[in-house]
Amino acid sequence: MAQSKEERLFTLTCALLAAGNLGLTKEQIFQAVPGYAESSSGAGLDKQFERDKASLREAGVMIETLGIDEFMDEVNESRYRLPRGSFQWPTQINLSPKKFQLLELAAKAWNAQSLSAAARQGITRLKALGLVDLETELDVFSPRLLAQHAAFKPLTEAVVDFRLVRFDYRKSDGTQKTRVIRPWKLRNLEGQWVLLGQETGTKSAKNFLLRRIYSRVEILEENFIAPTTGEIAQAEQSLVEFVNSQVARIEIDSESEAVNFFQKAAGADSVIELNYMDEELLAEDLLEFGSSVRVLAPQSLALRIRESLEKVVIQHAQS
Amino acid sequence: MPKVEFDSDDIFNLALSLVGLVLKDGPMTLEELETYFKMPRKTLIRAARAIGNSEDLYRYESHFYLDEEVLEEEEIIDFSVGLAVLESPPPLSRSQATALATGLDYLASLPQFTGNSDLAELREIFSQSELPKPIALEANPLSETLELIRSSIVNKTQVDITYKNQTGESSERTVDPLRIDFVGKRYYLRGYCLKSQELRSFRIDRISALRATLTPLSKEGSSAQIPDAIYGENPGNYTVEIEVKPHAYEIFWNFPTQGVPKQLSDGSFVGTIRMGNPGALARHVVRYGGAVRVLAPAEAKQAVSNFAKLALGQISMKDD
Repeated sequence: MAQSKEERLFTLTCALLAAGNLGLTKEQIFQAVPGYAESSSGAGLDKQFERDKASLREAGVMIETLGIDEFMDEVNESRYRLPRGSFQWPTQINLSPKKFQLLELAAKAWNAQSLSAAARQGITRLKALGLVDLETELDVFSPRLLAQHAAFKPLTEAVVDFRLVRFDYRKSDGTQKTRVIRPWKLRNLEGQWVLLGQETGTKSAKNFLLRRIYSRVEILEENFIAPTTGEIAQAEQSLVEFVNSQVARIEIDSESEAVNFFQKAAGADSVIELNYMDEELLAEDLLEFGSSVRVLAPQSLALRIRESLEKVVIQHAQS
Repeated sequence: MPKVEFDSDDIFNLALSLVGLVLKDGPMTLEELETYFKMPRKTLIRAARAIGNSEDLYRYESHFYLDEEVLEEEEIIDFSVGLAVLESPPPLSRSQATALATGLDYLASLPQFTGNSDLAELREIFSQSELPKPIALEANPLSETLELIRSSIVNKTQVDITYKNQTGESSERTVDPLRIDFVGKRYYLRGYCLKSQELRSFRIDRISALRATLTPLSKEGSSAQIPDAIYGENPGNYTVEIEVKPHAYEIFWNFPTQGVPKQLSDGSFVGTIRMGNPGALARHVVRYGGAVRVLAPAEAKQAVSNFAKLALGQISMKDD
């Protein structure tokens, strides 16, 4: 019986591991793995092998190709191998039932979207490290990351593969420009997806809201050097500091529903102070409560809200 | 939970993991493995077969030998090692690690996990970086309500709530609580409402009073399946045509749409959303400050205009 794809991938992995550092030529692989040896696809075999290599890499089986010059002169063909130690885990991971439960919740948050298969496979992989008693205390919670943005998928791919991206970005003042970015990391902050990245030609990292990407995201051929963990940490910390420095003062009608929404900062006082990441996003949250909230500071936010409301009135005038 | 279809990549991944687990902890029954991996029996058997059908035709030996007899008769997965040097699965791929790290970052931003040391340790392992502090919502005023709901779900008992809907009307309801969702920035209680006799989503910040009871769930509630979309239960019949700038496109995710929104030459989108309660439309439109415009019907345009005028102080509550 012909091997299924999963059988072929599994046997290929075993064959490469068994071959050690010497690796195997493509011909040896085709002879050894039943899925190839028994295939009648002829010229299609090479294509199938290329697709299988991609599947292996996607699964974290980092197959290496050695050219003739790199290995031995007498071998007139490339060799494929799994480098020594590539199946060793970098960190000793000791997962308690509580930690495992959190990881499962983190995977569940993807909820059949973009990265849910990768997250699910990661969990399966971690479960191989030894039996863990699974807790169910958090099963009643269903936090859900919403990743419907068209930009999400290409950006994730580019982050994973360290590739430059190009897109049109609209700033909160309405101006728009094409940018080429080294995408470092995607994060969900206050319900919004944010790309942390570095614009080519600049040294500092910036945050881009996915909702303001106005064009298709183009993944460019060019790779970039992975940022250091320190660089990412520093960029994330500077956003935290920026948020802490942005303070709005809002007066809330104590009889309104806005009290519930902004409750976190409200006490007996009807005037609250809020930190915010982005003025336009905060304005949206405030606009929803209409006459129940009033901005005391900053002036720019009060003005933005007034202008937004005036625009809505003009747009919805009955003709 | 939505039904997950497992493809070849999933099964290959599972085969790698099964090898690691069985070599470490010994043979296991299908039943144990089903619970542990949360995967159906047939998927586990396919993965076991992938391990067993790993013959090396060149060397006339197999990498692993699956014990078919013990699988058939006792439903136990066991295998012996032939040629194989595979002992444990490879470390997580970059997309697997990224997916989990992003999920963990997200959990860290939720109020209920503030100060959770297990989560902090996990984020450190998965991000492999010095940890910045997450931008978290501050101490959560809802935590008491959340805890009451959580324990009622676990105990399978009803809750009585006072709920204010989006147009400000208050009502008393008895609910079979089934799940707590956190979407965007809001918590929702998903459950069977005995008053309306249907599955409903209640925004937790709109629950003004909540009392846990000792009454067990109703028959309907115990057997209910929660649909995936928050609005899934009752999409509503009121339709509104809107024109939307790209950065406000998310409004189409918050409501069920009729067909797919069409993009105009200036980049904007035109589409039709459905809602249950026309009274709540205005706030959802005004929130985008001009990036969403109602095209029809006329009374919806009027409602949006009035909401904005009221906020500007151009009209008073009486005129509304």
